[in-house]
Amino acid sequence: MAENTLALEAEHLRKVYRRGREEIVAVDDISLQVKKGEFISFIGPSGSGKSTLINLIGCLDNATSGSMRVGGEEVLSNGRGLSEAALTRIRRRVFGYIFQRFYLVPTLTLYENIVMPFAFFQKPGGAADPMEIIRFLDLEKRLKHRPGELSGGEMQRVAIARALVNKPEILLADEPTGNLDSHLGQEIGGILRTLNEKEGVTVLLVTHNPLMAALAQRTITLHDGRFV
Amino acid sequence: MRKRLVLVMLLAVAALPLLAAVGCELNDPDRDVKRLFPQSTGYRTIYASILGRGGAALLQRVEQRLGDRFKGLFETADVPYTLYHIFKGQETIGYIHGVNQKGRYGGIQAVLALDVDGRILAFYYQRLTNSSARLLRDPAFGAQFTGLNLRDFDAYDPASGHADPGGRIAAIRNPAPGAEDDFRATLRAVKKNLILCDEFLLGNKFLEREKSQ
Amino acid sequence: MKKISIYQIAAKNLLRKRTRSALTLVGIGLSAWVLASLLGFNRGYDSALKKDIDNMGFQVLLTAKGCPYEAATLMLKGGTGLRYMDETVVADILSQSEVESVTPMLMQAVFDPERGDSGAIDAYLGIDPATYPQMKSFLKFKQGGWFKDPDAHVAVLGYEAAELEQREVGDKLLIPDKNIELTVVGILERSGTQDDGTIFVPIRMLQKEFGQQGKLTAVGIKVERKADTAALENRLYELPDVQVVSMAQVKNTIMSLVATAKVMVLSIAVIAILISMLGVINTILMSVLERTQEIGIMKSMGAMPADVFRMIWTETIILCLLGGTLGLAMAFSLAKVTDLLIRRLLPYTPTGSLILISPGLMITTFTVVLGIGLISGVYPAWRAARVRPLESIRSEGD
Repeated sequence: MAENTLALEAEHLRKVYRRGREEIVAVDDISLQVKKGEFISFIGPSGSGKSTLINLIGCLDNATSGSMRVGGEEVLSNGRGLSEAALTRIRRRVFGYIFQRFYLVPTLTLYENIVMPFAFFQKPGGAADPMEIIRFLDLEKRLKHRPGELSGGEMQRVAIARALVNKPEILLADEPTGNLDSHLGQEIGGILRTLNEKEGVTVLLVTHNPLMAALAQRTITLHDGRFV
Repeated sequence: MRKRLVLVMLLAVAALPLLAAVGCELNDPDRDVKRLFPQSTGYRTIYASILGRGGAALLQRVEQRLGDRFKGLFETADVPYTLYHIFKGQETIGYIHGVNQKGRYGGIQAVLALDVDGRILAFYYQRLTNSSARLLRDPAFGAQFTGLNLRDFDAYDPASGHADPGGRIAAIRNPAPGAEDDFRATLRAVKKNLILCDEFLLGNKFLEREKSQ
Repeated sequence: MKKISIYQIAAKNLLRKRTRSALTLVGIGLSAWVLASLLGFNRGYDSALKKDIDNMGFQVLLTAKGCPYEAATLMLKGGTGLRYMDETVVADILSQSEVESVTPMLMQAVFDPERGDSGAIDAYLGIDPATYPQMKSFLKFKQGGWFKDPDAHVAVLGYEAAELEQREVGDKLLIPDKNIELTVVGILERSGTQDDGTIFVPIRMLQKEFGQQGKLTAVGIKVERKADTAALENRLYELPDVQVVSMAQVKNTIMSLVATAKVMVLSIAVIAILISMLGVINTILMSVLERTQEIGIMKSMGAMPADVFRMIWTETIILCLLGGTLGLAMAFSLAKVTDLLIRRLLPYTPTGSLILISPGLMITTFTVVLGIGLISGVYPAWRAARVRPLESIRSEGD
């Protein structure tokens, strides 16, 4: 495939943890190519390495060995990664993150939580209009409320909005519905689908729920740190 | 905020004695109260001033009742008076009050012990500077005041020193002929003392009678 | 589009645990109060002492050897133990070139059985009407004025002495035991010094009535402006049976006594500041450790380590600014109370305000408190900046 259609390319990624004298291989020789605009889900049992993989891909962690290119930039080569500051610069340009726990700031209002990324970084050449995202996610009526006053579903939508304000190329979602009931889970899944199909956002979803996984175009199963 | 206000008020109160004129307090209240009222079980100290209790209007009334004006640097409307309320159990059994009066060579402090009806139970000088002082300090002199009340003093005019003949005040002997002015000052002090007690403690019991005369 | 800044986030973070923030704030406020009061005290004490000394009128005082020159000490000693100098010493002193003027004084005491419960000492200060009023020209009269005739049976009273005996100009005063009548010719205004309780009489009259002709208990000396006071004092020491009390020396003795107190209070202030610094570090550090996940998320959003550092540092600075303001407000409004407290603690306190809080002083205190904030904030901010996003965001399972 032509390089400029790839959002992300990883080769022979390996992540090894040392626990005392034990060596744990969380990710074992994984190679992956993600096209722009793809929706991929990663599924597998607990301990299969899917979260570790997503952390490596999402530049939240450095691999023990392997190489990776994100958004055309060399992030990892032969196991030598970038500094924390450099990683931060890539992260904020390329990625948006959604986690199982919402991690909203309790002392800020809903609106303030959503625009918080702008306090640190505003994408040159166009960040998104927060109000558009807010309307899209149906949060208009709750703007002045604090996280403590919101429901689980609302909080996750706020987290999604926050992840979108800097128009990320890749949206990483690690078990986003883990704390929500199935109805809300479907709702979130639908939002991700819409973002991918209508806005062309590349979505990488980690889940243990087959129904959620089925929303993606491509599902990859992991077991013991390897693709199955 | 409230705490600060309380502190400020405390400071204001604490600063008062430094600014105001000097009053007349008992040298040793515990001892003096017990001496004058042996059957007492306790006392309460009240502070009052003419300015605080009624301002210029009260001053005028007191001067009228006295028959003499308030004079000088130290006899002013803001002088604090110390009044002692004497108790036996829950019952008030009497009062003690002292006033400052200018004497010949120094200040005279005339202290009265009164019963609840305003009748003098005892009189003594807490201060008196005079070569004839010994004579005036004689208990026999002070005893002459026992049993008198403010009504008896209606007959006495401090400004002229004249007492209606035949009245109880005219009957008071001056044992120190060389100290006539201090003797007169004492009578003025006692009358002033009784008037202030009437105003501050007895609720003007004697005022109606004065008016009706 | 409305946005939020790092500083706003920092400010709102302090509201998270209000009690904790409030307590830290009070801690800073208290140390700011102590510091401001201490600095104000340093200034206030020095100026009040100087004023007291200046108000004495003379720079050097000569007394008979072994003589207490203060009325208060005199009363304590029961009026006995008075030692005298000969009047001729005045001429000796005047002959010195450094001397501008001289005023002789005689203190005499009498026992008054009428005062108080068992009597008290009445003290009379005999002064020379030709020289004393000039030296103490700042004394103001409420009524009347100084006497002129050195032999007259007259008196001038300090305000409190007059108030005590209800004396006014024209009234009589009796010297007990001697049965001498004096006429009051002047009553001074309150000066806030010992003069308030003094009875001044003409010295020659006092000498005659008390049989102390030609005798003095003290001589006040006013030194020429540019003169060498130390040289003069050395020469005066030569005079027989005479004690030289230099007001400058008195001031220095008192100052060195007070210096010890100042050092003590300074140490307290420093300790208070250190403790409040630790309090600040603790508070902010705890809140950082509680927020590692949030900080990790911020890093995932694109917060650089410098951004996080700035945010946490801002929180400390806000706390210190607020605490500093609180402390200064307390120092300013409670200056009177602090004044009273210090008077209890110190052996000698001059009259006049002991605490002087000037704008410059407030700026100094504020700067120190700000400095505390800047220094204390460094470590927690650095810890926060170092947080790696992944350490803080670990989902369950993997």
